Amino acid sequence: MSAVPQNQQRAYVSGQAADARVNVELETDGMTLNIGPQHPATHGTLRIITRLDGEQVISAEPVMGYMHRGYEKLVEVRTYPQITTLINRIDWLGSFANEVPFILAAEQLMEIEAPPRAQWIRTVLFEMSRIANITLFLGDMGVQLGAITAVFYAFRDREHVLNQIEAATGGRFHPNYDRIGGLKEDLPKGWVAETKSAMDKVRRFCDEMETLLLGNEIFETRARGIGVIPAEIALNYGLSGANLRASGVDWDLRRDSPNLLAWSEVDWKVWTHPDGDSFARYWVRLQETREAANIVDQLLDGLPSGPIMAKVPRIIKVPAGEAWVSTENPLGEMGYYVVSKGDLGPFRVKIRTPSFNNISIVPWVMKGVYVPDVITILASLYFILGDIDR
Amino acid sequence: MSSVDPDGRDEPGAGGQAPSADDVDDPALQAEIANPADSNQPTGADVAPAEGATSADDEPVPAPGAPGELSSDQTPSQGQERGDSASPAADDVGQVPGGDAGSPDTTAPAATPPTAGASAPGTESAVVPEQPPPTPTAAVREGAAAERSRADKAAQADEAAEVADSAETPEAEVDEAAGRLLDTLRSSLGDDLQQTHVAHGREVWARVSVEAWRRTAEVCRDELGLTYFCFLSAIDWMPSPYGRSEEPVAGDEDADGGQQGDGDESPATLEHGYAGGQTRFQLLARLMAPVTSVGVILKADLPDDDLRAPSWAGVYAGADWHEREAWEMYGITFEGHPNLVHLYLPGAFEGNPLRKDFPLLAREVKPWPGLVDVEAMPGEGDGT
Repeated sequence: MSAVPQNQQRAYVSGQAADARVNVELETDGMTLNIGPQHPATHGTLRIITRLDGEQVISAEPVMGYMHRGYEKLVEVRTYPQITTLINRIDWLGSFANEVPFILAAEQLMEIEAPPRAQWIRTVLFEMSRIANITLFLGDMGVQLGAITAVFYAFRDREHVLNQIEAATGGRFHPNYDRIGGLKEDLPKGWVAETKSAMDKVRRFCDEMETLLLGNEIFETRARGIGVIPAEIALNYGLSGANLRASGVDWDLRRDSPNLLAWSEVDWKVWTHPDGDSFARYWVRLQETREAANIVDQLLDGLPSGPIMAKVPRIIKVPAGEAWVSTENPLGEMGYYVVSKGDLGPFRVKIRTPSFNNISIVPWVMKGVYVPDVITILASLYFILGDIDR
Repeated sequence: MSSVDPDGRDEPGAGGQAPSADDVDDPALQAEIANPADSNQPTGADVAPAEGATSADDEPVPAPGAPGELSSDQTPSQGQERGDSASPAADDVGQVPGGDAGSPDTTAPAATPPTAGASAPGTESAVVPEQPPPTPTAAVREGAAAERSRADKAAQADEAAEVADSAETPEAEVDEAAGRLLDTLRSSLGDDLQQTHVAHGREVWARVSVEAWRRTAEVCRDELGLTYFCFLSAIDWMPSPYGRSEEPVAGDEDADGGQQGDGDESPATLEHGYAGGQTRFQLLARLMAPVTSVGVILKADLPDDDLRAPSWAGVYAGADWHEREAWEMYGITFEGHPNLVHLYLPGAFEGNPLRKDFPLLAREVKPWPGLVDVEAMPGEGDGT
């Protein structure tokens, strides 16, 4: 099976033939174009060295490390409770979701389980992080393709969700709310009702994006068929999350891997799209945001009562052992491989971040595209720099 | 929902199809939805401009139709519920019944006794490490025998297994899948599979010899259907000569010097984790099967004087960057890697930061106010 459909190959060949006729007199020379590290489309400091032939990309090589903070080294000199502060800053738009797999890994090694109420609230905040994160993507993709209105709506409506996260945890971006054995504190009074109204706003925002962008001719032309990633290539590169589901792989760790959080308790659905192009990635994320709002609503309806903290020793020492826990974070599969030797801190932590793998496909997918599509593809793959560089 | 809503999951007939063109009013859009990939823009490596097409271009793209790959008609798609979604490798590994971790029947317990490696979850089972006799070890024979008996029983066990399915716990399912996975690894790798570990209901560890590192990846991808590349890294098992944060060594030059002497690299002082080990550096990787989420954590010992390993970049394209990271962070050379250059660190950087003997300079310069606050709280100490 060829990676690229035949009609696409034909279109390319005829395009080359046309170019050859035009280029008889107009010699094109190879050219290197640096995109970034200070380009708005790179959400931070990612640099992409593209070699161009005319308008076409011959090769694209991402260069990162401008923001490498060495978390895997730093966590080795910290205690377990201190580490959540650090890993909050990996994917800074969905911070709470970063804490959960690490805490779960530590709990697995200590063989303790957070009480049900804590697990449900974790799930609620996890999904709210997802909304806060992906909302921005939904607007940002519009900006990258020339529709600036969308991002203002995104910032406006993300605020409702961030306010709720702040009300519960005390931090807008870096909640540091998850604890080994449970949560820092219980939800404030009136939070449930307010969150539900925030979820209504999220759903309205999704409808708005759908009417604004999905039917838009420019948006469709620039996103459909751009950056097609077939499923087997996506798996081979380790793409995860919405990028993988947009290639038709029906796989979501929230549903498909055994975990303690409350996703199995509510009725929701995993969205996929068969196309694998930039449009599909946008579409899947849009549906996921809506689905996340539904999950939050259902969880809030069934929130169990009870304690939010299990019995945990005051000084946390994690027994020797190794644990791997990964969850379906806003950007894809995020996991921590924790090696403990029975100390106050871990011996080694391998942090598997989704964006790192998601962006590693850039050299493959950008080969042969045109310069404007570089931006489309970068926007649709959706990465957070902190999630690549760690 | 929008007018271009390609929601096919609720309609069983729509599996794997493009969004229905009937929902769209615009004829141009209809055409595009009906044929989503029809575009003027070449996107793939196959259509790269001739002058850019080097031999390396095709490298990350696995051979079309390679066993264990998801092909489009096997892709679990919309309209299919999880249970009946096509397995990535179900057809290709028919000769290894029960060893196919990617097949849907991993969730159904086979009514055969687990083999040596899996029979005692949570325990180490050594498969005679460091011993290269040509005859298969007992465990391997046992595994092969179980394989055959399973093949015989598999058919008649199916019905019984389905009945028993509802009574099974998720943990038992995971253990069952783990047992099958290890059986296949054992029969394919033989003595190169050195040691295994099963954490009950959670994870599988397998330590292989570094010579078989690449073959392990191929077995995992092609025979076990673990087509999803999760991560690759390494572990330095040497205890840190600088101590941990809670020990009062940081900033204390004398203590540092004294401790550094203790941190000799003699393997006797090394305490290895699950699946054991002999050397200071170990490769660490995880592979997974999509949809079923069955995975395996792989390790391999690297001799201290020869930190080289075969590259996975040709098997899993995603390993490319992970190996570059492991190379600069640990100094492990991956042979056959297309482009082993710095990923995060500047080009002139010296040293391998994630090695335990690489000092964390921030801690040397300023003591860590972590466990014990070195600065006085307001109102105590010097009264500030």
